[in-house]
Amino acid sequence: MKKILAKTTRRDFLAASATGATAFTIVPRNVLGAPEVPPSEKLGGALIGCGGRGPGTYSGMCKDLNVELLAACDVDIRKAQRFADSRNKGKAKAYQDFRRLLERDDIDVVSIATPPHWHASISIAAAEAGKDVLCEKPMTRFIAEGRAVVNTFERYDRVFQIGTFGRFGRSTDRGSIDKHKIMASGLLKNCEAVRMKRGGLKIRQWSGRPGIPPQTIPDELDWDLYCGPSPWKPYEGRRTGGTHRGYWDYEGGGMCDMGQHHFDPEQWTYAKDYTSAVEITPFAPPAHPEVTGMWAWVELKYADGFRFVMESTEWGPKYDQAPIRDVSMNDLSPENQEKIKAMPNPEPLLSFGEAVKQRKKAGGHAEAAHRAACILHLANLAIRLGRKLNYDPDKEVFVNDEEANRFLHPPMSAPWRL
Amino acid sequence: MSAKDIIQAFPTPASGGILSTIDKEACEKAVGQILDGGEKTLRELADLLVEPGKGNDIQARHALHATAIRVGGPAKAKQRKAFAKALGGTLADDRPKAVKGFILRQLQICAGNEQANAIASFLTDGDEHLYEYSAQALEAIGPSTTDHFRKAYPKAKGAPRLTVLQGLGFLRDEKSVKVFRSASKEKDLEIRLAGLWSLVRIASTEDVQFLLDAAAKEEGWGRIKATGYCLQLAEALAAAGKKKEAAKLYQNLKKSRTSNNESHVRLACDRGLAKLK
Repeated sequence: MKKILAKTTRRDFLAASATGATAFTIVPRNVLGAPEVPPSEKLGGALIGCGGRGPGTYSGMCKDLNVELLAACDVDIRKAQRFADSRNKGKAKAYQDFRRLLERDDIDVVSIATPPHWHASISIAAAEAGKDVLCEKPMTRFIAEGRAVVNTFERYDRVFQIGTFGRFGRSTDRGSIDKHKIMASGLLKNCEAVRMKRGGLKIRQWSGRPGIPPQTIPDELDWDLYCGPSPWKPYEGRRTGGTHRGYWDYEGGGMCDMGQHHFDPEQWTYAKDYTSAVEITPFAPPAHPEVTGMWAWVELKYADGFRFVMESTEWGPKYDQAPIRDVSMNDLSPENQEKIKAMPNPEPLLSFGEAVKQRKKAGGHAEAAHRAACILHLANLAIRLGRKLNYDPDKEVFVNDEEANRFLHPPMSAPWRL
Repeated sequence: MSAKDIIQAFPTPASGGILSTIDKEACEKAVGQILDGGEKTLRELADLLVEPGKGNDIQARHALHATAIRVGGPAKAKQRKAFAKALGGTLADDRPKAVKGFILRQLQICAGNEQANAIASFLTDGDEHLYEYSAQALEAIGPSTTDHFRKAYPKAKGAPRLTVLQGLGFLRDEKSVKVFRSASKEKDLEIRLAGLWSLVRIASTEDVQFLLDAAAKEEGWGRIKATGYCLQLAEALAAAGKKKEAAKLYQNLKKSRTSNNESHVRLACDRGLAKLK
């Protein structure tokens, strides 16, 4: 296999810094007298999932880094070959099975742009193989996957960044920083803020079409590998490509397609990166077993009283449970306002590239991405189950609802498992 | 009212093929009618299900699923049990296997241990992935179903065998430890990995050396996964206060994973060892 000279240096550095460190932080190169990854140092890169967003996701991963594409993978081998040839013809190899790609020791950074039912399993395997990961949103298909991703990236101290970046802008915006500090301070008791996402979640666009007859599997597609950890179903074309979004087996409709874009920055602003809602209330008709469909609104209430609301505007009544209002300094006593002003600003968020170079957490790290994905999954589960759900954000289980808990970690198809 | 009439409350595809004309109140009323109709109505509903591509059963599938979902939740145990019993009973009828697959997936949502026998009869059936749907329904019911997996394992071949083995591991069946160890030595990589993963789920100190030895023999993908399982076992043992055994795992891995491309494993071991202090 091809070796990239500087890559070994980076890994040796990691090993050395780990041995020398007494705590869990990695000492950056510059602290040890070595420069951070210099412009000349080339990392081996790979893309898994080459259709749709894949090429754009790969380019995003390469920002701030010097990356040479060495491998591309897709269950449709033609797509992998096309991308490999377009970026590094003759040098980048195409794969149909991501396991073969991850076995390579010359690949350092991997971007994952498969349909979401594969995001967690491939992210975990990539970290186990020592790679850093930029993974498309939504991070996961169900909640237990997210916790497993968090644990794995923590175990190996690999960099994870979710493929949505709105929080980076929020983290430098004065008004958002103030709100973040108010919420993070814990000084605001019985918060009455209700943040509304009205429309924009593409409910009809990513509703599935039920009842399409099975079709012949194309020769170039490994259908069993496509289904992977999700339940096997007969092939029909709309289960692949962008229309996979309309099937519960692979994504969660427009909620999961667009939700992480919207709620990830909101979650940062309102300091909810390390918790989840405790009450989830839906207004939705009975969901179809296979395809995503209509809903009116979902309210997610946190332990401090803060609420996120999503209103589809594409079906059913408007949200009418509480007035929409934001958090402000005026919610605090003059004394507590002074305390907020005296609080230091939150640490700047690191891009994926900077995080890789500095061996620190990226701004859209695994825990934050998992909690943002939980907003979508909890909302979708309330829609699918058609009832108010009570959730324990520490244990990550529903309270007193055994049937709802079956959806948190649905059994996966062998050989895939968490 | 017949099931055929009741399900007319559920939508058929509208413009764009989607179910955008759905009426919440009408559908919920229909669910109530299905439940009020008891076993007779449910059997009629099951009779409306067809194999994919052999007719239109969009409303029937939607109605059955909606009912399976809505009998769940707090304070509905009696209703759920009655529905699951009736639904489980439809598996014994003469139906296409693909239809039985759909019924098994609905039982995954609502069944209890009372339906385990009926569900488990498909654990070794390779047609239409019935073994997979059967295993997943039993796993959803929980550890009370392990007997069924244990009985099926010696009879299962090919893909069902791996699925049944993984089911035993998912349910952390301590009575299957010997099976897991034996599987970990088989020729098939996926069987070996399922065996090792299952032992990690049990998290016994007695398997520390076994796991280390087994992981050391693996290469490529097998080595990546098996090494990860060793680290997971170390974490589980550490969390259970068995620090000595956890340390043994970390120290062994740190010493044995010496190549450049395993520096992240050594790093994980250092972090694990530091947490033990």
